Amino acid sequence: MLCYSKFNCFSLVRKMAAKLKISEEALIKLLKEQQRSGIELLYDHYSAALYGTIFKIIGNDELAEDVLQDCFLKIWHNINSYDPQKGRLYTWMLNVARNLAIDKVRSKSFNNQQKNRDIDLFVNQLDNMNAVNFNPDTIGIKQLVQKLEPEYKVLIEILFFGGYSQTEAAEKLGIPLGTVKTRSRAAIMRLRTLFEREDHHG
Amino acid sequence: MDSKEILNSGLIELYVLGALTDAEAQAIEKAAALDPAVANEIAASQAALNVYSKTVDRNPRPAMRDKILQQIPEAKNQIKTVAMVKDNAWQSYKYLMAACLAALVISTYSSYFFYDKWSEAEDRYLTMQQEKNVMADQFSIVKNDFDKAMNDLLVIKDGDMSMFTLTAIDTSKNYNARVYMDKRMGRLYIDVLSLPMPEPGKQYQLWAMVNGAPIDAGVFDIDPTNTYLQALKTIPNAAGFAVTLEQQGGSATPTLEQLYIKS
Repeated sequence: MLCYSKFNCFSLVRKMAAKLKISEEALIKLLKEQQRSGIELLYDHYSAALYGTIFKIIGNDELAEDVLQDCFLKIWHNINSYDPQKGRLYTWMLNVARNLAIDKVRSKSFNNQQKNRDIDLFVNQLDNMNAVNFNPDTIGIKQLVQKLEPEYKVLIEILFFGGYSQTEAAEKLGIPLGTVKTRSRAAIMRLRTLFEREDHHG
Repeated sequence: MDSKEILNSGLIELYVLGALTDAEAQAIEKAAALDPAVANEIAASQAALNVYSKTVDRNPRPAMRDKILQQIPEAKNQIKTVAMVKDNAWQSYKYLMAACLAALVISTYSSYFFYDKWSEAEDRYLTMQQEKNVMADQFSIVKNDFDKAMNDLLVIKDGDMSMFTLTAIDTSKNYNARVYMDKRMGRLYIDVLSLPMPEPGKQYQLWAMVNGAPIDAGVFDIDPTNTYLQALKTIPNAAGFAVTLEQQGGSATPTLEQLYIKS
């Protein structure tokens, strides 16, 4: 193996280490025992997913980095409030990241202009971003997502990444509240069908 | 709303999308706890959304890793804790060692100190013992002297005692002695005041004059260290006394040429 610089070598090793699968149970155990290795593994496995979600919501690297930092601290300190009965660690962490990012977006300090971003811009941002951040893991997923109907995609985007409530979403999309419910169900069902195979190691 | 209604309502999907109010979300969680079908539906929906969220994956700048991990408190790291326990053990071991050494130093010093005191006391005790022995010896000497002196005094003070003063025949010499005689029984004592030291093999002999004839009253020595009365023979009714120098052990008759003093 050729290493042209120390940095490359280290980052390569780190990436390889990140690829080593560690079970969620083991990771949860490490984190609950407040083992430093737990948070390091967590970072190597999930920083891209958490940062991606935060960035998706905030749309600004500088602020997203602040939120990412808050996110890891919150995970570290609140790990005992995570209940495996209620869902996967990944889901919990994603919610922590999402909620922190949404709070940030809704805070007074956040630029009003950014807060009132157009939904179309918001959705387009996803495609632009994927073009910039080439990640081999997500190529297949991205291709699958292309098959998702636009009305489902918009709804998932504004609810999940935009932090909109049902009412806000209904208002924003100009559809009845009942439709938000049925369309949400349809959208998730569609995702499930699309990701049936991906689901196993999601 | 029962489980079946929940499953088809779209609320589970809104729940995983995070679009429900807290109260609504709690109702879903409650239903999930009661009905595995609801729980499974939630898990499947979350899994799908998790996969979807990967479309937004974005690697933070490499510098963020260290920056974020530095923020994680060092505290409750278990390996650290073990190290600290070891440290504590070593720490207490060190204190124990220090305490032992201190105790050793103190006891060594005390031993030396008390040994010193003890030998000093032992020396003083031996000195005092010796002094006591000397005192006892001296006392015994003094007692002996006192007894003799007391005895002499009793003889001298005795009302029934007659004293004869014996003076030198050769008037150029200042020889003299006293003889004390017990009038009832005739016990004789001589108090030598001044007589020359006899040559070796010679002894002074006292003669008692009874009815004009000299009777042997015993021999005596000159001892400059013993100036007490010397008890001699018991001869009643003596009228006078004389001292001659005779052979060692005395003679049957006095050698008149060697008559030194008489009363």
